[in-house]
Amino acid sequence: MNNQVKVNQIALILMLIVSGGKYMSLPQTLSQQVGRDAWLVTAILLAVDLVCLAMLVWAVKLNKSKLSFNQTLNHCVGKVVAKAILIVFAIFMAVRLATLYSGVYELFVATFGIRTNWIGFALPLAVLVCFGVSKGMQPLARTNQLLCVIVLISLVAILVLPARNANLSQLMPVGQSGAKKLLSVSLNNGFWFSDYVFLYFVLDAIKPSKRVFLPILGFFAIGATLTVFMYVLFTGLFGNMAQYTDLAMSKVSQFVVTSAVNGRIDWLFVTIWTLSVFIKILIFTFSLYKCLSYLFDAKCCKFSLPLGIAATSAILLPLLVTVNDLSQVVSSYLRYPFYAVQYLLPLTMPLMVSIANANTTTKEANRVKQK
Amino acid sequence: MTNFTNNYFTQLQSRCGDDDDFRVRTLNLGTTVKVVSLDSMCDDNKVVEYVVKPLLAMGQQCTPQQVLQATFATQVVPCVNFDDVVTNYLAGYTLVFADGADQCVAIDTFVATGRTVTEPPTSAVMRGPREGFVESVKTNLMLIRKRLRTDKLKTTTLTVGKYTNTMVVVCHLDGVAAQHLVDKVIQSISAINIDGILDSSYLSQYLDKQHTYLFQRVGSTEKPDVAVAKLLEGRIAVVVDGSPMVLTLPYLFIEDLQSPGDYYENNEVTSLGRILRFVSALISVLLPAVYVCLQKYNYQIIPLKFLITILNATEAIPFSPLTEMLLVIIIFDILREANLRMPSAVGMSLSLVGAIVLGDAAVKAGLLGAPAVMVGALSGIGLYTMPKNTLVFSILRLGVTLVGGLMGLYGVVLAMLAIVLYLTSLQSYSAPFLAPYAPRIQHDKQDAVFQDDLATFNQRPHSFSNVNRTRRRK
Repeated sequence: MNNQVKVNQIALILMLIVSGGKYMSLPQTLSQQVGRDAWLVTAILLAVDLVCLAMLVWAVKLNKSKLSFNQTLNHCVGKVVAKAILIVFAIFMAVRLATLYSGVYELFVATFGIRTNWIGFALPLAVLVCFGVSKGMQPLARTNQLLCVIVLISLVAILVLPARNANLSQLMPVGQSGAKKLLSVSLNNGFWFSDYVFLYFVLDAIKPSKRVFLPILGFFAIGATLTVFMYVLFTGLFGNMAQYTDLAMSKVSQFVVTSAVNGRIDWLFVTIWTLSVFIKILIFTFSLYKCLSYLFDAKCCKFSLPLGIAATSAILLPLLVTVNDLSQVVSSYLRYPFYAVQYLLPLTMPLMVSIANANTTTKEANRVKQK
Repeated sequence: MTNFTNNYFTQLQSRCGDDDDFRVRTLNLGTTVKVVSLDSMCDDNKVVEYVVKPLLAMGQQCTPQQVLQATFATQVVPCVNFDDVVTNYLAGYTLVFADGADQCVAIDTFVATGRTVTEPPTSAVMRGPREGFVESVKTNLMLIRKRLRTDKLKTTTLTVGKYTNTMVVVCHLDGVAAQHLVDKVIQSISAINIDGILDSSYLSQYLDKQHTYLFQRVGSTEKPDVAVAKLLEGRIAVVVDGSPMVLTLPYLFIEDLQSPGDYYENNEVTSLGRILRFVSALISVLLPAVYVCLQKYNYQIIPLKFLITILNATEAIPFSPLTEMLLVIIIFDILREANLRMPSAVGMSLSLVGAIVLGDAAVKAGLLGAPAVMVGALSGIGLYTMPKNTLVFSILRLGVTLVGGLMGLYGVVLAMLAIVLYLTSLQSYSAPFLAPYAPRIQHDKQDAVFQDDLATFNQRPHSFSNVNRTRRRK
């Protein structure tokens, strides 16, 4: 299992997964809460993400001793608190994964009008995900690197071609909901953001590079801009009807078609775009797997019980409960612990990494002296 | 005879004397001389001209040392132990044992038969050298050396196979190839414990450490100019006696896209050809699957006029789109296999009969639709644009079509993602298999799908380890 990744690969992953998965049921959810200002909430949350990401990148740069997230936590907060943080992460990842699985299923059903059997849909995906994760982070990053061009082309086609039908006046007046409402909605929906959290689990695997901030933050900004544009387009196309329009990608992509006789070329674009959701699922499953490995101190990395549990749960969970309801319940009860790991932890990471690295260096020096 | 010659001659006679090919001629030149050769491996003229005549010309008063030096051959090997004696005897050398000498000599009298250097059938080019490797390791090394006239070309000779004792030569350019890679290759070959190898493809199985099930990660070429080009890049070449295929390492996926003729053409033309090959390979794997799932599940994607044409052509077909396409693919694969194994005179007519009679008759009989036959044929022809992976792509085509037929576009996307994940996880001697695209290695893109002007190739590839990166000083 090779987990070594380059800074550029991380940047490309961020660019793709920021937009991947945010164009399914979330636009409708936000529109129901703030109407035409859904894009503003997205922009606010992505701006917060950018700040947190910058702190995490700083932590990566400071991590000279190549300490893992688990080692850093153990050094700074002790084993018990570290385990508690990892448990919160594991729940966060698992719920995000379940929402991605069910979201992409709903997207396929809504777009192609074929209601496939859930197990028949999820099982092949889970097998693929297990296969991908068992190969390690490096093949995942390389796969993303190879596919990001065609995914971006499809995404841009889906965003640019319908733009001629969008009525941007439907976004006016901007900020009608008021700052307080915008902030409270942002606070309630933070769960769907913070895609950078996978960085915690590759903290020790990023190859040193002179330029770290510019590529990572730059590519994240591109992904964020595309995401905000998606929401702008969604509101511009559907206006007040946006709150009743589910699965935004499926509905917006219909505007790509100019004439019925030309065929539904948009379906091909949507299919290719879903690769970004699959990549996001792969990256999050890898993070969940690493998280569970840290949690159970698993030494064997090839494939494992935690991954098996994660995959099986991803398949079975939607059979037992409605995933969106579950995610709302979980995020309302665990909102504050989630925010702690999503937003508070990144802000403290540079300090924690510095302390952990200093401790390690001192211990190494003492060991050399004793020898 | 002294103990040395007596012992070894007696041992050799006891081991090989019952073989009808074992020839001994005893000469009395003041000292007793025994000339031993393996009849079927030795050229009678060479034995007479290089060994017997010079010995007889020496007269009756010779010392053992004079006897051992009396030869006109250039290749004379002293044998100091019994292993040397047997190895050289079996390799077609004539052995001269002289009474009183502390060693015997082996004189090269190997019968030089075999194919002459011709244009290789698998790598024909419009422009560029037409010489191809043959089955003789010596000739193959000569073909490499005549293009690389430098003392930096180093060769390491190894023997593989308990019974075949096949000569394997590892070649590299000193100061260009990474020594740790050379050592790794030599180590891998030395570790092979097998009764025999008959072709270089046997070795490639052992050199591929990760044991890839689908894609080969050891290159092979029949053209000396290609082998030399690889050596100049810092790769390693492995020449195997009895095989016209020279192995090259490390091997990347992109190399299958590169044709030997590419470097003798204009780079714009080459780039266009490579794009065509790449698109053909994609079409050959994906087109049948996409056709099946569009026809079966997502026909709305197809433009209306096109859809009507397809519906008209397929309305009377008794099979489902998936079965129809699988039939076309399997028929095509059967024809391909039969064509490969038929004598060349019959092969051509068989493929024509297969294509015309089978295809046309199946369409006319209403068993297969014309669009499916066309898609299958186009995809089948596309497979040959990347000749080294034809069979792999054929298997993938079958798999992706099956998944597409069962799961629609979702299945095709998953299958493609699985293939890409698998390919990105592969390495060939520490070189990422999908370089220079995953990971992106900007420098090496100059000779990937697009090719830059050869005059701008200032550095050797960065995708794999090599020592000296500079190729051309500006």
